[in-house]
Amino acid sequence: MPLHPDSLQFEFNSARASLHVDGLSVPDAHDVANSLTHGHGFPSMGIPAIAPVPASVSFDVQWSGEIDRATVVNEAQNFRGDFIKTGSTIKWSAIQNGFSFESEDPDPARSFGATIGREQNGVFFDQP
Amino acid sequence: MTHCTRRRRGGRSGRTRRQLRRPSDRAQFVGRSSIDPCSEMKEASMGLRFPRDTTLGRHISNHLREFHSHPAGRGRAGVSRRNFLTGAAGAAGLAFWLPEVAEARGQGEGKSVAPRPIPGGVSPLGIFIHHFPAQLTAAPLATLNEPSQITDFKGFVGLTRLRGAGTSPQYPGTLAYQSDMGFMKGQFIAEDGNLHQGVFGFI
Repeated sequence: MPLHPDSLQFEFNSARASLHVDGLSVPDAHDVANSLTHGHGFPSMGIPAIAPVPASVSFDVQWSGEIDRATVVNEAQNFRGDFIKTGSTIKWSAIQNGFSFESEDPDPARSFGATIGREQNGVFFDQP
Repeated sequence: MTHCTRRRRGGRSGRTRRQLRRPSDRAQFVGRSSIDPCSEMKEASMGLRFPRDTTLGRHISNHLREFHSHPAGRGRAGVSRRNFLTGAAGAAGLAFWLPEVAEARGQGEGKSVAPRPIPGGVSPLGIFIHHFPAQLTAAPLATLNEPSQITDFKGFVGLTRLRGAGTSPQYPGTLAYQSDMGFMKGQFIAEDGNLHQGVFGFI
């Protein structure tokens, strides 16, 4: 979804990025299955249909701590770029009618995958 | 690999990058009289357009026809931009909202400034979405899947997967969560065929 340009800070050479958003209006689909099926649930898996409800989320995601970096050219998926594997953390909260949630403090140990990069794909794949 | 092979077969065999950058192939600015040559990002915001009678314009047109027309039998039929936007968000249980798209359609222009989805992706619960989850920490970067959800894109990207816990005044104890978050910042060819720039979040 489109975000305000100030919501993202990116320093490739320092292997750091942050994404910060306050009070973003989103529909809460309740679960992944209902989000994928637009509220129709997944009866064959015993997941009932649940209509989305209005909600608001705030989050602060941080990428930092270089683990590895490489130039990747993936012709099968038609993209190329320079990428850095990093650590990451998140702190987020959500509010909706009758429910609110606040995550624990940011913990790097909770990350199990994070990558930042600068890339080009599609019609830009072959551009210098 | 199929993607690239087919792309190259139908592409510009025998042409060099130097030929692609002839003056006649340069993008034309529409409705503007001055250009800041020092900033690509500024150029993108000025309504950059690639006419089809230029090499780059034909290149873009061929790419769009070859990879985004979704003819029946190719396995991606029926995946519209709307499906992409709402489907991709499904990984997080949220959905997308594009005010620019609504505004453009309200003006009757027919084509929006929304970005186009990448051709590839994964199928959680058997439902295809144009998104690859962030690569696991232990996996080598050489096996990286496309981090962007936007095709015809040039810019910065980030993805991460995290697990954790939190609290709610409405529930005792802790609640667990898993997040799949990301961003894209840069230039892209939108549905309207023009070059735009923007910041997008995958939430």
